Amino acid sequence: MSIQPGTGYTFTSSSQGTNFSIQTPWFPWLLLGDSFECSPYKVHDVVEVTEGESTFVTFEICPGTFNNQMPQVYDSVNEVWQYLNALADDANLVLDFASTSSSIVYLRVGPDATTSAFPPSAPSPTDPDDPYPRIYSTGGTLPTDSDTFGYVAIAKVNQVSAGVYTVEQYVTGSLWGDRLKTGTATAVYYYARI
Amino acid sequence: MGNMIGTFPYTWAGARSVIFNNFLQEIEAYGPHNVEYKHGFRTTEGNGLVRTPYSALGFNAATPTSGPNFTASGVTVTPAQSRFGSQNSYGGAGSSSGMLIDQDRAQLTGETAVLASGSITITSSAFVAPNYQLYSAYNASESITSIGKLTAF
Repeated sequence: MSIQPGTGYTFTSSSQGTNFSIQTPWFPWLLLGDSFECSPYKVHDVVEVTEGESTFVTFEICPGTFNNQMPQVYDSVNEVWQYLNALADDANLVLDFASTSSSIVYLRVGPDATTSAFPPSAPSPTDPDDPYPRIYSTGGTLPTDSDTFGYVAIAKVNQVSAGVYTVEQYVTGSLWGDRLKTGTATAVYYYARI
Repeated sequence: MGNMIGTFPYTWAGARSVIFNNFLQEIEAYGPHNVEYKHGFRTTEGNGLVRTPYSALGFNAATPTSGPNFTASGVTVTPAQSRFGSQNSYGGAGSSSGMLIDQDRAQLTGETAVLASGSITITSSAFVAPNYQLYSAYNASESITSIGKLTAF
């Protein structure tokens, strides 16, 4: 019988016997099957759901902040925008595939029309185009920045085969952002990961 | 004590600014992490902004009384004399130079400034208070039309 070396430990053999040495006992060992780490904005658990005659793709996303604000995402079960860190247990976040094989999950943020704060300090439940940070998805291309909104691609979900999806994660941390506009030029948005 | 980048107002943009132009109304809208400049100059190269500790986001807030700027104004009609400079504030107060860092002053020295009264070549005096760069021309409505390496907006 032979024992193979692995991460964080080694085996050495000599005439005195076999030594088992642990080099990094503080290594954050993961349990079998428990390899998930919920980093900010991480898109995960993309699954195909069939309800009646309709089939759609849902996803989950880990909480992350934008300028210290917690973004919202649309829960299509309860038909309400919810904070990423306070989703209802039965929430369904539906990806827009729009007859394509990929979907971009993105963050949309705009300035407050009254205070000019970027972003507004709180959501506006009555504004269908709320500039408060929101997570959307699109089966098309990432929308182009405008004076009203800036867009950041968070991740791209690809359908590799029927019911099988992979995630290309682009943003892995919470974000700081600034909005600068000069004259009549379209506003420019700057982002930094924290 | 330092400030953490990202903590309002010390963001990336909090340390950068456009260059203000004269005494025009400069800011259209202002709020945390957001500023809309109405008039001014962008750098032609790069992202259009210059580094400064006196940006609207980082220091100046909604009423820009100071910040990186170029100002031209008449001094005397006879003899015709005017002043061009990057002042320490819009009023020209203070004993130090304008709010452009040394590297940007070096870049702009030698460039042509087109004014209502004609054109001048920017010298290092343009950054030194209290007189800045004096030139022999006068226009009652002196203004800056363009500056080399900068794009007016």
